[in-house]
Amino acid sequence: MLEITAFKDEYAQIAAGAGLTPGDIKIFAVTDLDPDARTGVCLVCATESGITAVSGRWVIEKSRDLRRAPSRTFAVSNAVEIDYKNVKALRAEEMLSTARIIAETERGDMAVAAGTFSCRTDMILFVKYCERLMKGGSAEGDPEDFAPELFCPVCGRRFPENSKKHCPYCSSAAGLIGKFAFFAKKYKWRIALMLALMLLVSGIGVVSPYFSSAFFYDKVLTPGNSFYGKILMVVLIVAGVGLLNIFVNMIAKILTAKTAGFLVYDLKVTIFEAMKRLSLDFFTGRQTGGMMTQINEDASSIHWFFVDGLSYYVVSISQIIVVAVVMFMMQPLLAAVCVTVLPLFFWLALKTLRKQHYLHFKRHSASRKFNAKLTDSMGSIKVTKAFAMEEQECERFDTVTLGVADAAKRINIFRHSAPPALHLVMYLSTLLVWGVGGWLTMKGQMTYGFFAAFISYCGMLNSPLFSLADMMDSFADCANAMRRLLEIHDAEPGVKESDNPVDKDTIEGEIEFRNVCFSYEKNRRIIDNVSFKVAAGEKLGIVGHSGAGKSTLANLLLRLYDTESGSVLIDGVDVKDMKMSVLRDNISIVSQETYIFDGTIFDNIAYSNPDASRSEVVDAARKAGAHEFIVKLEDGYQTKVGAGGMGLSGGERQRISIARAILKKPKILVLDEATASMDTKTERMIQISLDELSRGRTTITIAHRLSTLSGSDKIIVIEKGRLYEEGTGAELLARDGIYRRLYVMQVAAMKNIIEEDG
Amino acid sequence: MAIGEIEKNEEEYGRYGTGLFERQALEATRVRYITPENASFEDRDGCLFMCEKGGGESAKEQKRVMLHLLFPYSSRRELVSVLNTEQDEIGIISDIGIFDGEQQKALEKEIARKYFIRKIVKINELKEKNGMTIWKVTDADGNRPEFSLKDTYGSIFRVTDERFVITDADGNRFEIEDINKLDAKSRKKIELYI
Repeated sequence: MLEITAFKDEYAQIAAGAGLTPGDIKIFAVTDLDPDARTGVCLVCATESGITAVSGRWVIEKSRDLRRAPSRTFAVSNAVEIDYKNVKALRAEEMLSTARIIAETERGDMAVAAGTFSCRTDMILFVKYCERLMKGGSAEGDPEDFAPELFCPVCGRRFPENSKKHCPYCSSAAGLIGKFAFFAKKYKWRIALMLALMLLVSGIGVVSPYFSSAFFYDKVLTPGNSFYGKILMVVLIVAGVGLLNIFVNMIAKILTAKTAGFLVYDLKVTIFEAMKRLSLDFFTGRQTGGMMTQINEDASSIHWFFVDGLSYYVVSISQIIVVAVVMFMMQPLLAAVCVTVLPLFFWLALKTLRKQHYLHFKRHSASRKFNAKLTDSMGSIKVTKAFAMEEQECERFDTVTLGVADAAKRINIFRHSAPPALHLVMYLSTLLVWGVGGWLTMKGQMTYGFFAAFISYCGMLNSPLFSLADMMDSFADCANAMRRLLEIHDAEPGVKESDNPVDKDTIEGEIEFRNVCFSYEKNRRIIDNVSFKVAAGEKLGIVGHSGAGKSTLANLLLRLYDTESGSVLIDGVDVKDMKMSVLRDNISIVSQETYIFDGTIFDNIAYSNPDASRSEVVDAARKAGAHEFIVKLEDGYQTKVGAGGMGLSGGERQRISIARAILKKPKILVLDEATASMDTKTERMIQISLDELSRGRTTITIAHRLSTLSGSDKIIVIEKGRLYEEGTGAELLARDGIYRRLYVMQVAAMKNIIEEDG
Repeated sequence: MAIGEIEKNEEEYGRYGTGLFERQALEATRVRYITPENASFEDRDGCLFMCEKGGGESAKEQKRVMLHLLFPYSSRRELVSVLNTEQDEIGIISDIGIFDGEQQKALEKEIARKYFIRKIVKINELKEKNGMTIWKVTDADGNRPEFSLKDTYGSIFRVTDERFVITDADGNRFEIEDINKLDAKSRKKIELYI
């Protein structure tokens, strides 16, 4: 039996109900819905002669006799049995969030089984192997579908994406401290020195009260002691200790500020590198404003915690430990009285920390929405004004702003109400010490000086505890920010370079799409089983309606996304096995969406080849038809463009991006509606440049305007993600197909314009 | 008149021309309504079939159709698009209530199949791991599904102030019909992401 889903004993009971023994079943899968989308268990079994699917739910019946265990029976809600003789074909059909196995019969389609998308892969595999069985093949699983490395070794679940080998449910996530230690490792000696200095500050702080109270009262002011009357000496010692404390503290703070700066710099660089490593799918759909908040605000929160908070924490915690030890050595009974309330203090502190963590998370969420709204509003200002929607936009903006204000208000209220409660607990301990200590002094078990020193130590224990309580808010904020940033760092890229990628100096440029399927979203197939081949140096035109999936083919070639099934090959090597840099160095894309970076025109053209000389850049601009407008600019090639720079028209931006592609001298050139936004004259001019550029290079031209595809060696027609027609322009025109219809429509549209103008 | 058959309007054709391009453009701009007068529906073997009334012999054949709600979050009965297996729209049903009992049931069944969504009644656990959130919930059927979200903020769609639709990393959909009806602990967990 081919177990697409692991066969368990309980399934044998259900199968038996349908008259099947495990021996009868050749292929077995389990889904979680019946064909009418009711939740439960659905067994799909392929036997020698047909398919049987049984759906239902387990029902537990408790016996009235308490000594008897409850019985478990399977209530069947749906059963389908179909003979292979009646099945013309089998297919997996995807709906919004469910998939179904559909059998095509003489009577029409028939739903055999259904399941949520969690069972989607199992259903697709069932269809694949069942079709093979129906055609007389064997029911043995192929290694590419059942290799052990495709399954999580911990929970046994199939990895959601074959290429990733990553189980979201079982992957271990190191704790926050462990992750941060990874960043801090580089500065371990600096941090060690910082901690040592902070401990010294705490130590010095502990010594001071002894000289200023116990030693002063009992040794200097009490007659008969060797230090009696040496007031100046004690004053100098106390002043010296104080000065030393200030000096060491200052050094520690400078060191902390420097280390914090470097650490946060490292963190930002690492996060930005991680973001670059992540594939496009990570960014698609994420709000840019939200991401900006994450990088900017979170890094800033971490920075200020390290500069201001960390030293307080280290000094406070070490001070608490040292003072507690000293107090127990001085007077164990009083020390015990003093620390009695500590468990209550820490319990309350933990509760406070959790609440603050929650409030900061909420503030971040609100702030994220605010930033996203701000980015959105700024980007849509033209449309807003055109439709006179300023007032409505202001109202929407008001809502998100109110959200941020509310979140900030809640944090501030809590920040000012929680620490006093903690302070109160510690005042309680001081009062207890006053009471018990006063009684012991009255009884003569302690001197007044000793008692005064103890009270000072009590204050020294309370003071760092108060600091801890006050700083808890910034600690919660920092922990939140760090966790979020490290999550970007830990996120798994959708497109990963293979472990042993194929490295080539140069490629020939032969392209092959072999049975490629792809969807951006799980329930919307964009490319459906597309296969075609382009020889090195050949020109391929891709035509189709808007949204047919043409640009997706370019994205797959560049490996901006990975295919769901099938392969994209360059020179016979799967792009998944090719070194990313080889792939991207040899392919240039000019698309309709252009991006001008902040910098000069020279920088923007040389972006694809930073080593290019000035004359090479000018040459590329001339070929792209950009030189013509650049020479008219005051600062020529050094005109600042992009954010804060000069605005360029759509056509000008496009010409710069073509020049960028020309300068790269790629082996494969992809022109994705590259001239769609240009006027006819410019288009014709650039077309000549592009023809020149594409000479000797494999060129893929994507267009919906057929005139753009003139000169293509071969044209493919893509419609609804499928390849419908393939051939030369003349061959396609001779057929009565989509290409011809497009041609007729475009010619008719032109004719109308000519007639109207005439 | 059969579905999709364009009413001859000489004036309109005269204005736009009578070529294939114009005809297709005009067809594309028209809303074609499906009514009991021009079509009937039947649910068979877990699929929905439609039979056109009027038109040629070929139109009378039962064809497998699919439904697509134009406003899925507002109404499961009104403005339902009827598509062929190629996902091209045949026409729109203004309200499935205009069809008789059996046909209505057939349409409702198909909508239930397509718009299957688990309704969350309790969030048992919600934790973050490696840039994802892992959810353990209880649904209205008493199941306890576990799912993960890649981009938590982007995966939760706020339909109204109270209603939320969550799409997990696999593409499965979950719904919280009214966040105020969740217990306080569940609410507190999801509140961080909405």
